[in-house]
Amino acid sequence: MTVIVARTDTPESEAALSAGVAESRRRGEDLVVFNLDGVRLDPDDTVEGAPVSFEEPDPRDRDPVGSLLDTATRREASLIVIGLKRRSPTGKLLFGSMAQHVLLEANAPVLAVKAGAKPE
Amino acid sequence: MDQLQLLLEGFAGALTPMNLLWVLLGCLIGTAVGVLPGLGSSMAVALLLPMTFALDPTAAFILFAGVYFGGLFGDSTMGILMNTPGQASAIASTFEGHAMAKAGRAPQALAIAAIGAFLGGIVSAVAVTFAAPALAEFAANFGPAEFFALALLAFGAISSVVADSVVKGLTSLVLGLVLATVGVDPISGAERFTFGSMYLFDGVSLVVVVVGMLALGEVLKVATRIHRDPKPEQLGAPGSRKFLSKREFKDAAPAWARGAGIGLPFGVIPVGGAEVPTFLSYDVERRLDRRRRDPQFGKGAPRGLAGPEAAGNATTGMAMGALLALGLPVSATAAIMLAAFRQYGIQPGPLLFDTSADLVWPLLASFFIAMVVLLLINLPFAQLWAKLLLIPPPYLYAGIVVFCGLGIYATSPSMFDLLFFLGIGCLAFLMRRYAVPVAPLLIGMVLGPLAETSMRDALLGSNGDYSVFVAGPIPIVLYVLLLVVVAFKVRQVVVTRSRRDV
Repeated sequence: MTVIVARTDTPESEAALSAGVAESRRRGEDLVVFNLDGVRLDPDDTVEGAPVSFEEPDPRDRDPVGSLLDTATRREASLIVIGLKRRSPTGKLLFGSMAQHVLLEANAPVLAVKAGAKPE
Repeated sequence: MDQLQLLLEGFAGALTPMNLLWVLLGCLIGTAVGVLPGLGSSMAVALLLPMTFALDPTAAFILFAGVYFGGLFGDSTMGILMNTPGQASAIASTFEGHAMAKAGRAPQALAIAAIGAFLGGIVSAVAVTFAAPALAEFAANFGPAEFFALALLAFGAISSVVADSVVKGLTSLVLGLVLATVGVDPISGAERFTFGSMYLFDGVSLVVVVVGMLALGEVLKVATRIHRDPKPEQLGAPGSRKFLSKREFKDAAPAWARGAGIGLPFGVIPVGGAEVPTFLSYDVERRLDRRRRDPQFGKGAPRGLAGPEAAGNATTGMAMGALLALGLPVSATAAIMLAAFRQYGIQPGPLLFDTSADLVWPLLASFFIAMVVLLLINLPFAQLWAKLLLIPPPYLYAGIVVFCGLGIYATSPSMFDLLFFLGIGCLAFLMRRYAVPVAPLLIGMVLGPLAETSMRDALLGSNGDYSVFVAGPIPIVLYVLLLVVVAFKVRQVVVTRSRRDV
């Protein structure tokens, strides 16, 4: 069982990463960082002192979120952690939302974190 | 049931021993080339293009059909076993197919792919048999204005959909249009862009461009990467069970059906072939899978392989129908086939079903035969095909270059064409290196003259009145379709940017 964090370069994602580290420690499970943009953002093998493994979407896949959810199935994730940004309902209706896609289609529980809501 | 009668006559024409031999040979060659890493089905057709001119047209096209479909089977075999899809249309089936192979279910994955491709192909062959004559009848009303609109739709759709960057797609398209204008102008007889050289008088040979673009460019690219890319690893560890269980078959069956349904309409939409429908089908299967109690995607889901395979072959088969009935090539491979038709002085289009019925019906019948042959040579022996990888790459690629050169020299024995071929090969290499799609160039070169002459014919007929282009309902519908495609692309670009909110 693993905790999987969706990683991008946004502040929301930083918050999600911290929450993911905290959650994996609490559960005593491995942490997997999934780089949604296909670029590895964390140079070391540890994030905030916790050992992690990295996954990237297949560069040929057009749908990185789908790839994230597939990885979650494959690694038997017990929790998916994502960052969440406030957006207007119209914007989401017209252009879709990655976060919504994860929330609606994931088979594991999803923890959604907002930027700046880091537990100190 | 006119068509059935005609199709039966076609079978009579296709089932001669010689033609059967050509189908078999085509299927073998196509599968072999498709299996080789980095080489796809369009390359197989391009390689054979100069060679087939020694055959009579029916035999040549039957051979082509075998190669075309065989290449698709081979592409996905390699995608599954080694994660190296030969062509863009096999990418979508690689994801879950390779995951299945990794999980030790390679024989099952190959069987699901082969049956899916077979079913997709058969469904499309049936659809073509019944729809193509009707389509041709409808297209018989097309005048110059309609053909111009159709060509514009093809240009717009292919250059915006094939590449992720519209600029790259348009660049490629314009290069193709430029190549098409070289030579003597068919209407006024004036020389254009020949630079006074007599070699360019007849224009640029389509065969040279096709073989250079698809075969030489590909080989050059493989050659530059040969020691850089990690060697693909073969996962051939034969599983314990060789064949599909009944449950697996039942599991994949709805996906095959959905895939074929998604694939069919894309055969007549010029978006560069089977890449779009295969990804669409993959996405549908993935979303449906998530709603099931025990989701399989990510661990090797048979449905994620079955859908795209069926979709890919359904599109390819239907694309042949569009080519025969409308003269509209929707992908690079179809453009090659069109080039082959022209070489024989046959113009695919609405009149083809009347003027060359003795060619068309055996060709359609050979689709069915090719599908059965391919199923027979791929279902039990897919693992054997992987043995072709034992050929040392340097020999293989050198052999292909020699074969291309020979073919070019055989069609037009001149030094100039060979040098031109080399130049096109270098251009193709650069285009691949910078991810500029090749398909728009070929479509531009094939349809450029059609667009130009129809536009000028229409204007001549209307005494220079431009309103002739929007006079009828058909052109307006085609322009609206073009707008829809462009709007779709714009939305896609905006969405990928603003969707990111994680």
